[in-house]
Amino acid sequence: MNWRNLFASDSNMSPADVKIFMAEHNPEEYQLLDVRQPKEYEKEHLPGAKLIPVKELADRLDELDSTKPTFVY
Amino acid sequence: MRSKAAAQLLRKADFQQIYNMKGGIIAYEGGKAVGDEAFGIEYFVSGDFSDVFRMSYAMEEGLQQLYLLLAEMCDERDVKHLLGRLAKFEEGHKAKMKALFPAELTGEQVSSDSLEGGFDRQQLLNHFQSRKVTSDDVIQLGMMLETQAFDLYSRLAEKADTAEAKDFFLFMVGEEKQHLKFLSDEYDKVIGAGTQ
Repeated sequence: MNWRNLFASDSNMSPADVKIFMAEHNPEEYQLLDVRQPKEYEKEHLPGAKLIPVKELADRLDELDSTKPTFVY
Repeated sequence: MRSKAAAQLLRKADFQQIYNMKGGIIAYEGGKAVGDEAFGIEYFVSGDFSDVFRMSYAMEEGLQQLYLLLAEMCDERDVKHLLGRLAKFEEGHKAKMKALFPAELTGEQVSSDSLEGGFDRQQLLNHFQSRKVTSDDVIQLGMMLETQAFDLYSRLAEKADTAEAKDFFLFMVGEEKQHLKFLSDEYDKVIGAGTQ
């Protein structure tokens, strides 16, 4: 357990702010995580988003970088 | 709710900065990509860097030709001009790729009817043949294609198995981002011109 977790609340960010963040940073500096189902991803997704449906997330954490800002939708 | 559950899971796994995007993708106003995770990747099946580079180059070339073809088809001066500028932009992009990897383009050329992001060129031309092309169309089309390309190169970077290929795809992601910035600036101008 990381002590920071004790104080962390859910950080929400508006889509407009996510867009600004993306415009101001290199794509390697952050990760976009799409936790919906593959069919939903196929219909539309944020450019560059990685698809890991929520039920698979616990088993696929090694595919993500825990040090990068991560935007989840 | 799914993203909230996911964010909590990531927090437990000691991820340092997690943000839950409020309202989800429906609330996101901006370019979105379509297609499954493998969309467009079939053009890059060869693991050989030289082939990968040529395929990207051919896609840029395909897009440049599309802009030039559309410019020929349309008779409005402003729209022609915009298409010409977009084509020139792709030309500059190709020159940059050539300068970075001069050795990769010797020998036979790859030809591709597929555009950036895996779209079919003929389909797009058919779409426009039936009606007049406006600046707005051109910008929307350009944005859609560049957004797809941004997404495709991101997925390719993610899946790349050599450092060389990964760096190249990340370079392409950065390039597409610049194209998108250019297009959205153009869009602002078109909107501005409309309200004067």
